[in-house]
Amino acid sequence: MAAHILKGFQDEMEKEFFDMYIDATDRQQMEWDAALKIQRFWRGHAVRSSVIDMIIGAWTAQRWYRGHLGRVRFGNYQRDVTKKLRKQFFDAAAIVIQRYWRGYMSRKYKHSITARRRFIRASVIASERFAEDATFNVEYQTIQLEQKEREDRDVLFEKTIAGKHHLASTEVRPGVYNSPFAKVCGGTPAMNAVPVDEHLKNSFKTLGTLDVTSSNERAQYATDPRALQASSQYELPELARKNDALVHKLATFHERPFLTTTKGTSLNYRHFSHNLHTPYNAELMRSKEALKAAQQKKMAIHDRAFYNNVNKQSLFEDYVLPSQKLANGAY
Amino acid sequence: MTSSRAVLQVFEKYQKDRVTFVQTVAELATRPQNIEVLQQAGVMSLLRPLLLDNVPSIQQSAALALGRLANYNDELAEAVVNNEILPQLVYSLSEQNRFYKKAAAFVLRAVAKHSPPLAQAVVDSGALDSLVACLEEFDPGVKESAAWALGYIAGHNAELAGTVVDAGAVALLVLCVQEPELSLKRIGASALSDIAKHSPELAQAVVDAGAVAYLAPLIVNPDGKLKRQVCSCLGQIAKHSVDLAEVVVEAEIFPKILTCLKDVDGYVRKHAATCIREVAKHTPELAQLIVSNGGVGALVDYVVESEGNNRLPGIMALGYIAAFSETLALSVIASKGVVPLYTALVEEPEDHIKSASAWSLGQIGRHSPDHAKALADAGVLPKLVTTLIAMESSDDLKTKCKRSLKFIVEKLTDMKALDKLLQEKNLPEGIVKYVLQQIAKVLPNDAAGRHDFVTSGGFAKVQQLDHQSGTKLREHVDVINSCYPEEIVKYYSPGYSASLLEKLDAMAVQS
Repeated sequence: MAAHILKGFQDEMEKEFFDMYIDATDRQQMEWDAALKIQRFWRGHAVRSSVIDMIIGAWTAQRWYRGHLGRVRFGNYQRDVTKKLRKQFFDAAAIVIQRYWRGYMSRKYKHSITARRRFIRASVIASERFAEDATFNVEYQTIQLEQKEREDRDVLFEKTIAGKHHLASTEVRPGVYNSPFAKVCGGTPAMNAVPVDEHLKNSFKTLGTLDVTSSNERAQYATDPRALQASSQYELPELARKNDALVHKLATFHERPFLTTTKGTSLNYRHFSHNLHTPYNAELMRSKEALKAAQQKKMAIHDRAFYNNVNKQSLFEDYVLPSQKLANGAY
Repeated sequence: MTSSRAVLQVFEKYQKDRVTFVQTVAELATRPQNIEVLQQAGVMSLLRPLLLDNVPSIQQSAALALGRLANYNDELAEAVVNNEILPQLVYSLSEQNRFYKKAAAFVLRAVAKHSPPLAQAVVDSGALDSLVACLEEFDPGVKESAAWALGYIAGHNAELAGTVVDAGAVALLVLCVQEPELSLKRIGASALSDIAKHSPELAQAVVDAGAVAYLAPLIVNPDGKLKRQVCSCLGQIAKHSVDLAEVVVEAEIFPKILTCLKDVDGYVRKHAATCIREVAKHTPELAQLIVSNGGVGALVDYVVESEGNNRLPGIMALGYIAAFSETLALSVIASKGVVPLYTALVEEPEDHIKSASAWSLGQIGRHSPDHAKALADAGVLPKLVTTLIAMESSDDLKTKCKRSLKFIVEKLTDMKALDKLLQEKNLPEGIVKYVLQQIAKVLPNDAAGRHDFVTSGGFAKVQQLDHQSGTKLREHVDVINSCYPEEIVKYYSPGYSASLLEKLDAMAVQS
C-alpha cells in the first residue's frame, strides 16, 4: 500500500516536475533576455557613471607622458643648441689662435722677412765683393797681358836690332836712326822712351856700358811737341835720372848714421836697386812693381771670398738638412 | 863603279822629287784658292800611294796634304773616304812613328768634322781603337790630335758619342786634362764637352770617369782658351739633370766661376754664363746657392756689359733664378737686374733675345705685388705692350710678352700703374681683361684710387670699352661701376650728351 501511495506520489511528482521543466524551458528565453536587459542597463549605467573618471585618468596619464616626452625633447634640443653655440664659439676662438700661430710660424720660419732681408743683403754684399774681386781680376789679367805684349815686343825689338850696331851714330857721323832731319820729320825714332840709336849703341857690347848722352840732347827729345811717337814719353829718362839722384841723396841719410858712408850707401843701394838700374829699364821695372802690388792685393783677398755665405742654415732658419728630414720621418 | 853611282843617282833624284812633290802639295793645300785646281789635277789618287811610301817624311807630308784637303770641304772629305784611304791611315796609326800618327789623326779629324755620315765612316774604318791607343802615347802632340779627332767624331750626335765612350776614350781624355800641357788640357776638355752634350747617360759616363774633379780647378787657370773649354764642358755636364748639376756644384766651382763672368776673354764670359744658367735651371737650392755666392750681381753686370747672343745665357739665368721663389726674384730686383733686362728688351735686334728678356721679366714679376710694382716702376709694362702689338714681332715673342704681361698684371695692385697701363694705346683685348680684373679687385678698397681713376680719365676709358653682357669683361666693369654713383657712370658713358638733349626736346614739347 504504501508502495502504491508512494507510486502515485511519485508519478505526481514526476508529472509536476515534468511540467515545471517544460515551463522553465518555455520561459528560459524570456528570462535570458531579461537578464541580458538588466545586465545591459547595469553595465551601461556602470560604465556611464565611471567613464568620466577613466577619461580624466587617461588625460592625466597622457599629460604626464607627453610632458615627459616634451621635457626629453626640450632637453635634447637645448643640449644641441648649447653644443652648437659652444662649438661655434670655440671654433671662432680656435681660428683666431690658429691664425696668429700660423702667421707667427710662417713669418718666423717659412716667409721670414728678416731671414729674407738678411739673405738678400748677404747676396748683394757678396755681389759687391765679387764685383770688386772681378774688377781686380780683370785689371790683373790686363796688366799681365800688357806685360806679355810688352815683353814680346821688347824681345822682337832686341832680335831686330841684334847685330845692327853698325847703324849706330859715331862721333863723326850720325847713324840712320839719328838723322839730323829727324826733328823736322817728326822726331827721332824711339823704343820704350829711349832713342833707337841708343839701343843700338847699347847693344854694341865691346864698347862696354855706354855713357848717357848729354843733357842737351835729351832736352831735344823731350821738348819736341811734334814728335810722332807721342805715346812714348820723352821726358821719362830725364825723370828717371832725377829720381836716381834723389835716391842717391836719400840713401846717404841712413837711419844708422854711425855706419861709414860707403857701407851705408852700399846697404841702402840694395833697397833701391831697382831705381838705380839703367834708365832703359825704368818703365819695365815700374810695371813689374805694379804687377807685384797687384799680386799682393790678390793674395790679401780671401781666396774663397764668398764661401762663408754658402751655409744655407745661417741664411734660412727653416732650412732643414736632408739628414734631419730623414730623422723627422719626412720621407 | 861609275855606273852604280849613275844608277843610284836616279833613285836619289826620284826620292828627292817625291819629297818635293808632297811638300809642295801640302803647302799648296793651305790656300783655299788652290784646292779646286789640285782636285782637278787628281791629287787624291796621287797622294794615296804616297801614304804607303817607304820614306817616313813622304808619308807624313802626304797625310798632312790629305788632311788639309779634307779639311777644306765635305766633298773632298768624301773623296778621301771613297778612295779608301782611311783603312791605310788607321793601319799605320798603330804602326808608325809619332809624327806620322799626328798627321794621320789630323786627316781623320778633318774627315770627321764635316758631317755625321763622314764621322760614321771614320768610325766604321775602325779608327776609334787606334785613336784611343794614341791617347796612351807618350808624346803630347799625338795625344792632342787624337783627342781632337775623337772630340770631332763625338760632337755630331749621341750615337757617335756613344761609340766613342764605348771605345774607352773618356778615362783617357780625363787623363789628358791632367797633363801639364795647356793645349792638351784644352782639347781634352773640349772633347769631353762634345761627348757630354748629347744625353744624360753620356754626361754620366764623363762624370763617372772623374772628369769634374779635374776640370773644376782649371776654372782659375790664367789661360783664357782653357777656361773657355772648361766652362763649356761643365755647362754641358750640368745641363742634363739635377744630379749632374749637383756633381758640378759639389766640385766647388761656385765662387770661382763667377769671376769668369768678368774675364778679358769674351768666350770665357759667355761659356761661364751658360754654365751658370745650366746649373741654375734645375732646383731652387742650386739657384739659391748661386745667389748667396753673389751670382746675381755678377750676372746682372754680365748682362749689362755683353751684347747680342752673348747676352742670352745671362738673361735666361736671371729668369731661371727669379722663377723659383719670391726671395730669389727679390734678390734679382735688389741687384738692379730689372733695368738691364729691360734694356735688352729694347736694344736687342733679335727676337729670341727679346723673348728671353720678356720671359725673364715675367718670371721676376709673377710673385707678389711688390715684385710687380718694381717692374711697373721700371717702365717695363708699356714696352711689353708695344712689343706685343708690334707687327714685326715673331709669334714666340708675342706669346712670351703676353704671358709675362699676364703674370705681372695679375699681381699688380698699384692703382696708378694699372691706370697708366689701361690708358696705353692699342692695348690688346686679352690684356684689358686682366687689367680690369685687377682694378675691380683694388677699387672697392681704395678710396683715393677711386678719385684718381676718374680724374685721370681711366674711368671714361672703361665706359668706352666695347663689352657685351655676360662676359667676364662685363662682370669686371659692373664691379667697377658699382663703386661709383650712378650719375658719374652715366656722365662718362658714351652717348650721354645725346640722351640729355633728347630729354630737353621732350620737355620743350610738353611745355
